Amino acid sequence: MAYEKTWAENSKINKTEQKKLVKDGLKIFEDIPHYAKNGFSSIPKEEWDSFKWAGLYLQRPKEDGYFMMRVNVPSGILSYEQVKALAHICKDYGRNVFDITTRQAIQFHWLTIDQIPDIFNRLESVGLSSAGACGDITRNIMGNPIAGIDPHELFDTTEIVKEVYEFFQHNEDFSNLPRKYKMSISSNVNNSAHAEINCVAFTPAYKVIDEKEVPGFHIKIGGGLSSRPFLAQPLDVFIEPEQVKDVSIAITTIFRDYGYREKRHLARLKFLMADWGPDKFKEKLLEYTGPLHSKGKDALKTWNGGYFYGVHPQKQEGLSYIGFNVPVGRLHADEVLELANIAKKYGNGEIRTVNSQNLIIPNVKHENVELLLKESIFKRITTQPLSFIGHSVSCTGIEYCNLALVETKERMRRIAENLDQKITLDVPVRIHMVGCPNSCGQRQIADIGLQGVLLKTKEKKMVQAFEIYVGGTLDDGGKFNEKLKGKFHADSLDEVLLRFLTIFKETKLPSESFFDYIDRVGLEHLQIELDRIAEELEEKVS
Amino acid sequence: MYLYRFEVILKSEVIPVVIAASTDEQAFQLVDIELEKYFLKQPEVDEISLYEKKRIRTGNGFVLYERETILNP
Repeated sequence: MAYEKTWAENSKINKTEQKKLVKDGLKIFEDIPHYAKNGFSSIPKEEWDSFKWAGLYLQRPKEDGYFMMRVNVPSGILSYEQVKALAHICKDYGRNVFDITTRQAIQFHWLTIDQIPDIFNRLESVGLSSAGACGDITRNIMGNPIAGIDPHELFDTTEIVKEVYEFFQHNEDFSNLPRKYKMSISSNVNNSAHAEINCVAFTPAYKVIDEKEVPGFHIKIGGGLSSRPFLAQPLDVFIEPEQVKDVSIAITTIFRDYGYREKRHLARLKFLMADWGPDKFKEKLLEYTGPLHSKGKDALKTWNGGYFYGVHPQKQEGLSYIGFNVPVGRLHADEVLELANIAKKYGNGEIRTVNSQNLIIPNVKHENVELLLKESIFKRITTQPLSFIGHSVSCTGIEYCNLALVETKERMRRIAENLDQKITLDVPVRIHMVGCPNSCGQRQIADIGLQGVLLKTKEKKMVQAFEIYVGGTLDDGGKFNEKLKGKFHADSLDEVLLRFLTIFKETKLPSESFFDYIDRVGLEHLQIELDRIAEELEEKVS
Repeated sequence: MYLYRFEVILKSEVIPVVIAASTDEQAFQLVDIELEKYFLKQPEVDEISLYEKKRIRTGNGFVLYERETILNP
């Protein structure tokens, strides 16, 4: 179905918009076979950005011609065949680096253009795709990673996510959005899909309709992190499960046709929502959908941070799902193959990816759980990770990312392991590390957020350093963390954190969370403690 | 080429500086040069922090409103 590009006559639209009017992002799929045949040098520089619509980014340095590929995993659900196919792509082409992202997708690195057609074929043969994993288009749709097996979910959202995802896949009516567009659809009562940081989030709710309590969704609109973070705001509507696709299309159409296209840094849905507010957005939505029920009763209870560690009973009697920690989300191809075989041997072959960069093996008979856990791979990929490595998230960092200022992934792993060796707490503390303000590691929602900067001091040395933020959560609608004063040498960060967390340990109440602790003692107090640590170490940069 | 967003601490003041350069190292060098051009002599800088870089292209830029660096009151 063709549509009118209402912004086409606007002379003020930015250069990316002008380019997208001439050639739709998805057209890159038609060009890739030619480029693959003729090599990286045959790709005009001005076409590099178009590869995003195929889920491909050039790694740093771009001129070297190595691509990162992001593969969609709607709701994080992967079949045995899909996991095997991904593992083999990783092994054959991706130098064995297999990353689970903070939106349940999979990322490969080190791919060259000649390899892409074969990778596309392999993905397609198992029903996977990288289309729209990057670019100004509907991205991977996040969902409940235990959809269909979750004893507490309102209903199984697997088919709903699939239906919406497939509608937007390769759909040229919606492949020219003003900016990236992130959706989540989940009926998990522990907010496992991080509703408040998505552009559009469907969250579990009930509504009494015709004297009967009906399970369905509420909607939150306009969330997103990056350098200008916003928390999604609720609309006064209740959506029945069968309405999700139509409502998704309506919201996406509103974003497509009313979203801002003049200034790219103001183009995401969050800026439109910030201007309109929930009432105007609802009014516009109803123009597309017709009447919708007003809000019902919210079914979200708490926020689990996306963590599912350990063995849990499924809603299906006799079966368990098992949540594992993948340190900073990175696996080796051989590990992925082994995990696939174990999932097949003890479960039904399925593996689920989680936005905490971890994974779940579902459908394991209770009597097989103990045997499964004895497999040697689970010495590293464990169900009971030590607390810090088990709650650490990191962006890709300078290793592959063009915009990162510092190294992150390996550093986060080392710091977490060091903390685990030296301090034990009675509550988890979620630490997220990012290498720039773009927030791929979701720094703003962490208990402790670490954001990298490069700096030069009086001694004229250029060093990697970090600023520390505290107090992020998505509980109760969410709150972003706040920055403490000071920049710390990357090399001293582990010691700074150790001392900081030791103070937390010594002065916290039993079972008090880091968030509640900050609420009780105040930021000012934490700043005094951090300043004292810096003085003791004489390592603070400023 | 990238557009770099810096903050410079100079006499207890935070000064935003934006530089176009090809590499991080070059960007830091150019901060010194721009500061010298502005102040007519090389000022005594306490610290130069690089907060963000973006590829140079039309539509990319920075809004320099709030300061990143928190100084002692």
